[in-house]
Amino acid sequence: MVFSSLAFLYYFLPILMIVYFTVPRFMRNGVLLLGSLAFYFYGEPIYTILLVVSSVSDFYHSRYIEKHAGTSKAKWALGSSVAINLFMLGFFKYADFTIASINTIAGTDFPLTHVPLPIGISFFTFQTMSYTIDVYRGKVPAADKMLPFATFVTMFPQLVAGPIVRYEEISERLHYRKHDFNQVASGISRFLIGLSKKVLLANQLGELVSVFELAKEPSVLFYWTYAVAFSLQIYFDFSGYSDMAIGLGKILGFKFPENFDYPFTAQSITVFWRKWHMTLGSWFRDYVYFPLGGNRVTKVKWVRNIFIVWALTGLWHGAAWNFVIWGIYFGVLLILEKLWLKQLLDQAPRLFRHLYVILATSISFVLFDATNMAAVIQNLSGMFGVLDVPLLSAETVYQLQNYGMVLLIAAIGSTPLPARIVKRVPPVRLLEPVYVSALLVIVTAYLVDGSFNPFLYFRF
Amino acid sequence: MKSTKTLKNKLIIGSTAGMILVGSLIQTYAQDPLLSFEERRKLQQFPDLTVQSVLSTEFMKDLELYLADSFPFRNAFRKLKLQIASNVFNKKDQDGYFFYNGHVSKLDDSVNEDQVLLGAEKINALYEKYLKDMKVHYAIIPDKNHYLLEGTDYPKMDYQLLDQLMTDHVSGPEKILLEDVLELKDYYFTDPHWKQENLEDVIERLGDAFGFNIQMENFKVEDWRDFYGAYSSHAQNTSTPDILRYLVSKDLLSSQIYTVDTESYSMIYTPEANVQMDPYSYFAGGPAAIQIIEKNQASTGEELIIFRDSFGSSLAPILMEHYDRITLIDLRYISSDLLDEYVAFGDQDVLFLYSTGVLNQSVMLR
Repeated sequence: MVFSSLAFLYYFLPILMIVYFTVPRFMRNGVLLLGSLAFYFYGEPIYTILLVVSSVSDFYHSRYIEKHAGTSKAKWALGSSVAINLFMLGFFKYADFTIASINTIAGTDFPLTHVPLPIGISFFTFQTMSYTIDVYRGKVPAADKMLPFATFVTMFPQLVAGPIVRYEEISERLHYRKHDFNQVASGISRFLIGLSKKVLLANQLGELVSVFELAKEPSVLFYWTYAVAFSLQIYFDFSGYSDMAIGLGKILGFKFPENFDYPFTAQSITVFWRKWHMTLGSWFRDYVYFPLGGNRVTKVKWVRNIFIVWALTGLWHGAAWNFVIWGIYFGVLLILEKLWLKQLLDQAPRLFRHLYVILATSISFVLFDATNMAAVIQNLSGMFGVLDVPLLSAETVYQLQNYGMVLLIAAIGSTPLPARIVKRVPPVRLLEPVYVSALLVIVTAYLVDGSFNPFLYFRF
Repeated sequence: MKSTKTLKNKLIIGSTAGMILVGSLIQTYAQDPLLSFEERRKLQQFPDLTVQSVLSTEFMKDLELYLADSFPFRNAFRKLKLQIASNVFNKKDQDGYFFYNGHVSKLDDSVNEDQVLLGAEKINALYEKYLKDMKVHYAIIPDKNHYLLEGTDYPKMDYQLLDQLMTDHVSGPEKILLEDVLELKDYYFTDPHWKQENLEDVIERLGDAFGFNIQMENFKVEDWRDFYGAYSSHAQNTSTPDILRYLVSKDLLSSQIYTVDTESYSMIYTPEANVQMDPYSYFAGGPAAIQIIEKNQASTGEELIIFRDSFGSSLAPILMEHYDRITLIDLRYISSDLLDEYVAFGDQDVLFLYSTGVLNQSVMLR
């Protein structure tokens, strides 16, 4: 099930909320657990068992780790828990990638498994791994009851597309949480803003990307338009989903971490990645980069660490080489910035720094979107005028006119400006019930008449 | 301030929760509509709930379609979306449909040369197999965008290219040019078809080619009803509808149409056809593989065969003024290999009459 669907918005959500707020407090985790399992079952009936396995496995592993803290048994248990999670992730997500790569390199012909990818597996395996690692490190006590822990693992708001929530961030509220009108209203607003970002902006930008892919008269400008459109699409799609998750969490009484902080306003790639998918970045930092030594090692090892983290970050996003290249591309930029580029950027005008980030990220998302390396080469060549295409074409002009306002609204929406206006202009703030309701009506109109509703981060 | 904030927040909760609950309750208890006349299609019904359909997620996919199709006030929400797309997002087209100069239309595909050549081959093959030694012509009906989008930056089909391809590759039949005798006012506002009452110049051009002289003064123009065409549900503005008009004459009133597909007779103008879903089917009952229009009393001894698409349905009744019998063949519904089982080819006049849209997807012609 996706949040941007009529089934979720008009049936699952109201039924769950009515039951959730009607039952006694001690039953709310149970309601949330059952609702979350039903939510996942709707999209992945067969793989719901994976959630159960993951919850049970990590619950008992963590209790064993805590019981044998400081001993080699705890270490083995941690290894076992991580291995199980990585095996699930590795098998379902990377098996065919590995087989295909071996076939290509070694000239073999091993058959592919064609096993379907369970929705959200990259998110919930990372979430539960962080839990057992934190228990091992003594950062959090192991959950003493299965129900709150399973609720944490399966919680539907952030189950399939993040943010990646650490157990310590919500453990207290798993056991006790308050609700009040202000929090629920704030959650509703946040949810609807996220839903609008997804349905009204991301989907339309996705249409433009599709139009580009079918273009009869490509041009250099159209290639750049596509790169910018896809960058904005993925931002609004993913940040919209994070907003919805955070909003739903608020309604239910939880405080999830922020995941995006207007990344396109960054003035360096280093800062960009502190604003983009922040929970993933911090996960790799805490569980891969720091254990490898971080930057407290020799320069050679530090470069190695950066490459490992970013190759894994790329691989996390997708089981294909273009994702690995995408990750390494950012690793290279980060190294360059840390070594000398940052000093150069600090001396450059602010506008130049912004353009540098827009340019670098647009190129990166062309890598990200490609289905194969040939498409990467074609699209990048098109952007830089290497292909035999004109600078401009009639089709490009038409589509820029057709989607120009969407691009403009998206560009403004990717900055803090709209949020500042709402916060600082009292009449706008007071009209919140009006525009929130209006957004619900408009989003409903788009869902009722919609045929185009992809979600890009859904298969991670 | 605190009370204002609390009131504001209660309003947020009340309005959004209220809308969601009302929407879901109305949908749950209202009767599911079967058809959408505005969209000209059947609407998705509640899917079958089986273990197989749930485990394969087919049930969930169909459920989403059903919820969208049966949502309360669906048409109002569709209009709202069109308004937002047009007035807020400034979209020039929505899923290829656009509103310009009072017309609703659909963006053309660019010329698909392979398909046009396939169409030319089909015509040549039919000519070789059935129509040699007969008087055979072909004519292309330009899409209304050819006239509507003249001088605009909307993408449009290169009609000249399509026409040249046909000229270069159709070898048997001779071309009748219609492009210069049609103009925008000859097409409906909300439909791709031409208006029957505006075909005088087309008839004259066909008459020059085939050697007949039909006097349009012999016809009386009658109004049938307001006509909301195939594109009308994509118009964000409620434009003045067309009026579907039809031509009547003494010969037409005494003629009948026989549809081979259903083995049934009907009048030429058929209000009992599926007019709610497709008002243009008022002309000759809509699409059919083979239809034969015959006068009650033969007068000229002349017969005509039209290989056609839907445009031919409104043209054929006018041509009955000259021909005693007209056979309408729609190759989208019957294979050309079966034609001699139903049609006796002899000394009839033959006209291939196709719109640019059909020629651009000639794979439809069997």
